[in-house]
Amino acid sequence: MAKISTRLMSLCAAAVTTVYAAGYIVTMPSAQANTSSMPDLGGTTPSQSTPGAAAKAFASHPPSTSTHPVAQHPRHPHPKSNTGSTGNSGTKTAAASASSGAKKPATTSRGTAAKTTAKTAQYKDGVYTGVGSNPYGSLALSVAIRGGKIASVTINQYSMHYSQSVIDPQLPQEAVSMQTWRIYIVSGATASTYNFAEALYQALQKAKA
Amino acid sequence: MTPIRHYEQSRLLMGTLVSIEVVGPGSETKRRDAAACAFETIGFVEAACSRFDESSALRTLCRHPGEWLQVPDVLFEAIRVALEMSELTHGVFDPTVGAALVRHGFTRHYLTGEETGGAQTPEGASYRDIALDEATRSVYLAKPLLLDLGAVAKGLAIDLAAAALEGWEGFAINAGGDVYVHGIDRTGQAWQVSIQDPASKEGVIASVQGGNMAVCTSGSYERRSPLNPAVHHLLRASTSQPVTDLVSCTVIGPLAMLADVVSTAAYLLGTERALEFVDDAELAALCVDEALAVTMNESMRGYLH
Repeated sequence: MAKISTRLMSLCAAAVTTVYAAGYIVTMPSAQANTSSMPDLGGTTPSQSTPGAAAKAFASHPPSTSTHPVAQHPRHPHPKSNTGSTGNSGTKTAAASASSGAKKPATTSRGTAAKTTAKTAQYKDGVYTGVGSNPYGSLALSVAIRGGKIASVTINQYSMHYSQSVIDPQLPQEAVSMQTWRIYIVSGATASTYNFAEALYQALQKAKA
Repeated sequence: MTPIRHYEQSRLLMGTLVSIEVVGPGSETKRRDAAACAFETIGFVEAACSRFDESSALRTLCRHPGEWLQVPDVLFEAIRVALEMSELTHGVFDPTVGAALVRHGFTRHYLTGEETGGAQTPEGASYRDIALDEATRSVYLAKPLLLDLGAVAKGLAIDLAAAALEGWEGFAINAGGDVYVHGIDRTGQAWQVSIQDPASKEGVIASVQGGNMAVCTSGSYERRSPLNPAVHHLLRASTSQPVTDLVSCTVIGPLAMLADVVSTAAYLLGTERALEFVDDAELAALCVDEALAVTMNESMRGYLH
């Protein structure tokens, strides 16, 4: 029965073509991503090819509709930031009408396209700790917040069958430069990357203004 | 033999470990930027289609049952393919399975372990409660329901990442077992993709070779419910119970989106109908049943290495 195959194949091909043709991806060189979305790096200047740098462009508008902690994160990707895609207006409308229940931090960032505002207002200054663990090992860290931003991350305790140097200082540095717990994985260090993300997320929750 | 220049990187995306390898001449920076670009594409799809993220377009849509809502293309297309598969399987495959997944405890964000909510969504909705309007790219949910596009969005993300890597001599995208390979690997050979033995973490059940293909596996052996270890993450929406007579189904196709959705549907259809269904879709399939017996269709044999 060739009907199923033809129908499915053409739908899938159309899906890929339609989305790709919107051109969101090719119009976003990493240089542009850097200048538009990382104005406040506070001294750390990652190269343009830093993995997170380009991806960060998706966060050029902070999500503004949700009471969910993750959603308040400035780097959190959101379809609205997709420059050049069609069909976003509906989502925006929906977002606006959905925002009535939003908590304060979300309200702060709404209306101003400047995510810098949201970012600086997000955390209280101080030092906060967090721990992450999984069957492979554990990790404890402290994060220092200065001027509302992640100033430094220190790994205080580390247990894993491979050396701490696999993730340290890479992950702490990336957390500072990207201002997020959503760090990218270190090849061969999946378990401690998870632990790091979990611990940092926990610490940042405590730091929420 | 000196390996061909290549670059490999892994990131946590879409609830899984995504690895991309780029093979071809030019500077290291060029390969690295290409990989970064492909990762961006995947992050873009996740941002729109994630069930675990309240700010995703998918969750926004699910908060507005009873209204026509214009959605991003990526979400619209993913829903359209999911609905087509629901029709084809008469609801055995159903993207409204989200509420049942939540009830079984599949509710935690993969990085933070944090509860992602959505638990209040009533069950009882089906794919028939979703309507699409092509002209305005809008979606209408007739009932409150929670979509789960896991079976299509990941494939779409891989295909888009592959499109972003077009022009390279070779590349491989591996998103938690869903794989797309193109051209040559670092040794200059056609890519070889191993199909994991469901019974052991290290074992390989078969190895397939090809230049441009997606290899996608749907199986019960990776994600178990935190509430009930007998329940895995692939559920039939109509019964809210997992099918149990297949352990995994691997499908090879020209697009990851196609291979992924067909493997999920075939897996849910069960031993009796899986291979026949994949034959109808004119793709290659390899199934492993509860007794760990391996069956495959004719077209799969052509890929075996």
